[in-house]
Amino acid sequence: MLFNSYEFIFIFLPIVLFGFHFIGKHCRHRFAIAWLVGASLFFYGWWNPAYLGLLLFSIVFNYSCGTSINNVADGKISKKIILIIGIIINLSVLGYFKYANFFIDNLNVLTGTNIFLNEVILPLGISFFTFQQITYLVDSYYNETKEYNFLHYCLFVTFFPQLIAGPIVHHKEMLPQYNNDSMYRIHSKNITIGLTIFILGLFKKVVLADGISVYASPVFNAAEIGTQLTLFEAWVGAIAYSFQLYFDFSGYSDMAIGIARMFGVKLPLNFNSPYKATNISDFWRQWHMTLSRLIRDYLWDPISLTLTRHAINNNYNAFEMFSLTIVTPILFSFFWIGLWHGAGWNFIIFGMIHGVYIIIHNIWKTIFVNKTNFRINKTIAWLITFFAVSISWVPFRAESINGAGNILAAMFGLDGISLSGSQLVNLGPGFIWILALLIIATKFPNTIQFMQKFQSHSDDYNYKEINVERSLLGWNLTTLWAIIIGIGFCIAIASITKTSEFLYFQF
Amino acid sequence: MDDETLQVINKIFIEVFGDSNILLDKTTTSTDIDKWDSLNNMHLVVAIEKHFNIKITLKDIKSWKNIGDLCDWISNQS
Repeated sequence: MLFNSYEFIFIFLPIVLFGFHFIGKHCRHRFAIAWLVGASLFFYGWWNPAYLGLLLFSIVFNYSCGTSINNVADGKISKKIILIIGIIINLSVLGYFKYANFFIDNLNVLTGTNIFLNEVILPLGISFFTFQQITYLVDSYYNETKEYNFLHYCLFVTFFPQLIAGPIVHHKEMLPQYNNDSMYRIHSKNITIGLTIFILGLFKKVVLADGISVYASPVFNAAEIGTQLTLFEAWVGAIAYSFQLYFDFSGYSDMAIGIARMFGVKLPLNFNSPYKATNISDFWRQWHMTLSRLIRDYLWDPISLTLTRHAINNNYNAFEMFSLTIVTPILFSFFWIGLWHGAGWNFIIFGMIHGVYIIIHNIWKTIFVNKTNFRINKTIAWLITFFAVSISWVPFRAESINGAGNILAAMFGLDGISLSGSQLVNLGPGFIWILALLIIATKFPNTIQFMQKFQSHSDDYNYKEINVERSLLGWNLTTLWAIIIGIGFCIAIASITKTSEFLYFQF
Repeated sequence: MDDETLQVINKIFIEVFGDSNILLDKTTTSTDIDKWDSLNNMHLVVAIEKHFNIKITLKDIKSWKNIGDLCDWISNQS
């Protein structure tokens, strides 16, 4: 069931919301939680009931591991063993469902064998719920998980607003909310704020992302079958996709945050205007932030600490130091970021491109910014960042390396620079769409800024690095805003004409 | 928190970032210092480890919200 479907908006959500607050008011809180878990499992099973079993197995297995880890005293070897076994089993399950076909295909190419494996269907959201639970195991190991109520744990994993495509949450930021009585009391403010954020997200998805997709998809599809593209076609396709992905995924995140808020739950921020970034490191601080923090906390920091300790204790010179403590962990982390998105070389290339970007930015910073305080003009810095990111989305979106290569070749004029029109897309309206979304993405306040008077997201210990500028334009509880948001809702509802899945569901 | 620890930490920051203008106080966080990000965070951590001859874990790092927390933590180690 999609957030942008009539059955979700007009049937599922109202019933679940009413039921939750009704039970929360009249019965024990655990029944309200059970209702929400049941609804979430139904939501997941709606897509493919066969994989409900996998989700339930994953929950029971990880919950058992977590409580076992917690029951063992610190420093005992068995604590570490349970953690390692837990992580291995999680990764094996993920590996089978997500990467088995990719692995076998590559093995066949490399060794000339002809092993055949039936196409394994990717369970929805498996990367999200697997990684969320691995972090739970690690947090349990470090005694950062304080509460072990099974029902609460089930909700932490299955909570339908963020089960399928995030934001990826931590046990320690969710469970205290379930224990707070105010979650079970209906607050009109929560409903209003939640509904507003949901409508903002819905509008971003069905009007903006789906609207611009008609200028991206034909270009990528044509490139896949080897059609030669013109320079303009390729750029319009690539830039249109950059906006499609942003409005699609940030729209989904807003919808998730909005729905959760109607249930009295605050989710973490996932996007903070990434296309306003003027360098690539800032881009990653502002794009899919809950994935970035997960990679930083659970992959980057441990590797970086170990390698830095090794390099400093062995008195490495500056070059060795840079290679070991910056280049190696960056490439390693971005390799996994790429592969996390999907089983394909395209995604690995996408990750590696960003790894190289970050390394270049780091060298630039070390040489120019830190030593001479030289800074390039902000607009130029923004342009470089935006185009660099747009180029990286090409392999991310393309279905094959050849398809990506065709678009990139045309973008860089390798197929000749022809200024002719396009058979594939209507370039004029395409330019207008791009310009409009560019202005929205870079000049308009983002959701957290728009809702600045009403704390719209959970407080996060990692937000210290996040700088949210105050915006002049902000939502408030006024009739005028109610009318504007209401009109936005009507436009969005009228735009839901076809089933349009969220791009991030495939990850 | 004693000022001596803060001064030592300030000196380590100046050395690691090669910037003599860095002036820390106990409320300083990573947002206040441009050059301080997650890429070079561990260089600071290991420099502190070396200077005080202590071992710092990831959990310790996460528990510090600002320089004041870090200094208090170091003072409690001895």
